Amino acid sequence: MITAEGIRRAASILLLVCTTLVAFVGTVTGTLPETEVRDTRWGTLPAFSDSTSAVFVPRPRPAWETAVLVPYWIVGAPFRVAYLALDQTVVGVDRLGIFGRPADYPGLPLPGGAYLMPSLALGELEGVTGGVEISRPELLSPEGMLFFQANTSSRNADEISGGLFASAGRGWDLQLGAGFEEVNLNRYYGLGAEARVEDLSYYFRRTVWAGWELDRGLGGPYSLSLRSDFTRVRIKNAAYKIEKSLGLVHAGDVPYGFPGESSGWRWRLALAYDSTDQTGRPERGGFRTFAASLFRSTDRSGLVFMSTHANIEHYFKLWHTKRTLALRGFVNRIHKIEGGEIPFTRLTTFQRPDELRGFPPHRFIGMGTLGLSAEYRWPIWGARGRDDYGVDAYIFSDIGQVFDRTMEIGLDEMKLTGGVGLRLIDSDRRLRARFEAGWSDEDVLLRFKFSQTFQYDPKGLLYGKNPTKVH
Amino acid sequence: MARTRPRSIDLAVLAAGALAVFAAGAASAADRPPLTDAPVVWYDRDDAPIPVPEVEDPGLVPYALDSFLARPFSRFWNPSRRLRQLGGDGPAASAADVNALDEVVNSTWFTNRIGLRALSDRELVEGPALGRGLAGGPDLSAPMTIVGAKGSGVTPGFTIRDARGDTWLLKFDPPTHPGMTIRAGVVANLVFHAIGFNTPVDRLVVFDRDDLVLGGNVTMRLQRDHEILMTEANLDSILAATGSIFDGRFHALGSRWLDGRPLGPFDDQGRRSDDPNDRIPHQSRRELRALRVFGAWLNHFDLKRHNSLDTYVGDPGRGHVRHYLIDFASTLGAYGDKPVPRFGFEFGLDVFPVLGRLLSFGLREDAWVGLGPPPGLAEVGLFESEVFRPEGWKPDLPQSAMADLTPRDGYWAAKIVSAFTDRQLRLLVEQGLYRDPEAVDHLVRTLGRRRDAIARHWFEMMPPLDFFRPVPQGVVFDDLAATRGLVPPGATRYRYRLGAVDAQRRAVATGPWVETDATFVPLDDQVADPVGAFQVVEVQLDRGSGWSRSVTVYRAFASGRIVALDR
Repeated sequence: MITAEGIRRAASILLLVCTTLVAFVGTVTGTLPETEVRDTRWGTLPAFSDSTSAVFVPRPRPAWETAVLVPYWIVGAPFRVAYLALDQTVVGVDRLGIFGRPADYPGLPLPGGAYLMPSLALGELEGVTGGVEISRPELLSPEGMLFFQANTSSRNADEISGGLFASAGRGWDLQLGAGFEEVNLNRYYGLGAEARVEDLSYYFRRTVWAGWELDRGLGGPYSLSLRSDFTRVRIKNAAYKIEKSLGLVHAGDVPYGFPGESSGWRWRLALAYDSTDQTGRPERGGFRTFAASLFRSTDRSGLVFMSTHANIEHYFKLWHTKRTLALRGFVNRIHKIEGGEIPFTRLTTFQRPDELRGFPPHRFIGMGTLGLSAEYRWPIWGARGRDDYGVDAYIFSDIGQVFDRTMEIGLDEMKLTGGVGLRLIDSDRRLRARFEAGWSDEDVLLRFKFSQTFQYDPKGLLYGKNPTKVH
Repeated sequence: MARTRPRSIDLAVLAAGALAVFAAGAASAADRPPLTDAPVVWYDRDDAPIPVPEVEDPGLVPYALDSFLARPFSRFWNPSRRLRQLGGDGPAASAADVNALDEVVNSTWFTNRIGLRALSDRELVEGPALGRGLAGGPDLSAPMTIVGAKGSGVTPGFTIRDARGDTWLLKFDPPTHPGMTIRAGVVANLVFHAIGFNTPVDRLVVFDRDDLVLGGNVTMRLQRDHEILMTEANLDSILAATGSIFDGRFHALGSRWLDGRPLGPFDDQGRRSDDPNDRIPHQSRRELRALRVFGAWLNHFDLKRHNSLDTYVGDPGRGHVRHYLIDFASTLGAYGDKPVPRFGFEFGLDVFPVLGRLLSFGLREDAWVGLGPPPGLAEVGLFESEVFRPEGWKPDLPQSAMADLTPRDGYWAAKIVSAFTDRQLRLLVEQGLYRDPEAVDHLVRTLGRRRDAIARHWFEMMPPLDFFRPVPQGVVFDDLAATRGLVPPGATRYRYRLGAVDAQRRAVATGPWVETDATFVPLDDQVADPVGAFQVVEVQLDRGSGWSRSVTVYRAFASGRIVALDR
């Protein structure tokens, strides 16, 4: 007889059989739903139910922690506000899609394939300098480039300059450049190795230039450079720091050419040898430059002089990966050929790339300079490895002197400097910038530069570099 | 006067020490809820119906700025983290998504799999495709139609629609490393799924040129933001430039688009504000903290926010958010264009190693610098076990959740990692369809060694006494170091003592220590009369260097069930 109890029992048995079957099949095939009963290492894991589930919430913060955190929150509030501003700026810039653009060239894209890069700088003498650089890479050819920059400062240090780099055919590269620079506070200490730091004075200097340069590879690591540039330099007392103007400080010993104007053409022939594979982290090879130039004035002085320049660099791989010793020696010498005295603005001095880092620019001026530099470099950060973009640290020492005659050269007259720095290297293994602190027995100088003392980039005219400030 | 200064320093040190001890004690007490004689909770009810949240599309640069700068800075100066560290239990409070047995509960983030139970081979190798008919990858019964080109990342790829109507992302290898990233991606996907994470279906797809047709209006991006309409010629040149051609057939990693509505990646810190189910700050979720251990195992250095994805599953207003890890191609030493020795050893921008190198003047070299891929194994990346140190592993971008890893979190993760057997690892690696058996051997061997190194490290920090189960005459437990072959049999002594506590864990009675060789605690002859509500079983081990810290389990007298565990 079929009773209700019987039906209930049969249903229960059927349910049990079905459940067991499902569980068995699920276990064998591995398709059991993950919320169902499982045999686990803790025993049987219960199925999802009200008693085996809960709404999980964060644990309450203990009172001691709140007490400790209150001062942290208070002290940290300004940092949080400052970071919030930075963060929101970055988020805003990111939404503009600037970070996502392919990094073909640094700067904000302009119509016509050009890029604009704003610049802002703080300088002891120049004050606040603001400006823009506009570059047009790949002009007419992959290597072609058009460059323009304009800067102005709160203390009348202004510059407008530009240049062009293009292939001239048959293996020759052409650079054209021109510019105007006005700097109200230039340093002058005196002439020769004995110039005293106490005699620091300032003068106004305006330079106008235009020129061309032809460069050509000669096969292998050798290259040749021909250059001609016209420069006109006008100097007078500065409009700032009048109590320290050159005319007052050096009233009894005013250098030749002050105040006044000097103009003339310079022809320069240079031979370079470069067996390095990169400017970022060269570990071996050498870099040498030999140059001779002839200056002929176009003013009434009838001045003609010749200057020679020699630079020898070599790189030595040291113990670990990318540890390098870089050594450099240079000499510059002026030989007067005819005419009167040479204006001091045309004399040679420690200026780029032949610097004594730790002394300010133009600290020593004379008929010749010589110096030795040593840098020990080691990597401290690389994005993806030792040979990727990153930062290297370096320590350096420079030693050198100015001289008027060769017999003045001596260890007693040599000036020694030292310092530390960081080199920013890009993914093409090129040096992009360096930040360094150099010290001498007179001063400690912090510098941020896009160029380096070693492996100096000769594309000076293109980037609007004042030819009278470069050897 | 001269004595004043040292005394004040002493007092400051004493005060800090006292505060740390107090903090550790207070934190420990606060982390342990009262005991109850009830079934252990294994599920988080975090799938309640919610409205569809907003899509989040965070930029990589702002996130990197946060990860490299703001968050580490904030963590570094946070005094409560310092105090907790002095207490010895890590820099952060205990994870919030764990149950009374110190296990992570099942949720929309995580499902306990190999850590708790034996997985069948089919479960392992099919992973998220199990039971869905997707284990074979895209349906190739008709040509796959390209509907889009991959716009980001360092390897080429397409979005395709297969004969079944499913959408897949096909990714290829760069020419420099044929087969490296796609195979690693498939293997790591299955490993992360077996661990318990939600992952997409990633399968290795082998197809011919005829299996691909170009859909209409598919654009591809060239340099400088130029977009062009893709042609068959473009497609041919892209395919020819991949490194994923073997015997004239293309190999690709096929990643099936996730079901549901994509909501963007989840952050490793904080909560999604428009998801009421997302209650626990992500840095307090143990499974996210433990990514530091899982990531270390597979060298998944690319565990950034953008390699995660939230999806809304269900109809609008009746669904909830499910949280996925995606994109495992940068694992097992593989990386888009070239393997990088630093990955896994330092953050992309790591202040202290940089300072160390700066101040050591380059006289010391980092151990990882000389690492390289195994010679002769083109499909294998820079995956090694000689220099690997589990405690020192770091992802490329610092993560808040990983930074909050506590020893208990690390132990939990190591417990899961050590659950993979060598046979299972081989089975998983074989899913990458490596052509060179030596590559499989190398990966299985290295995974095994890294697994053992991880287990040894964390089992040293936390006694690996686990899975306490009541049996008729007592309680049995596992010594995971012994059961998983990390220590020789018979090399371990155990001791236990019994006691009784009330619901607040206040001791009512404590018995003497009893030494034993067995992983069994008899309960029949000690503390026979229930003087408290819960019986306490406190166990320690000694492997020759003294007794470890205790693992304590609580058993309800009334029901006989294990209700809680303390480490």
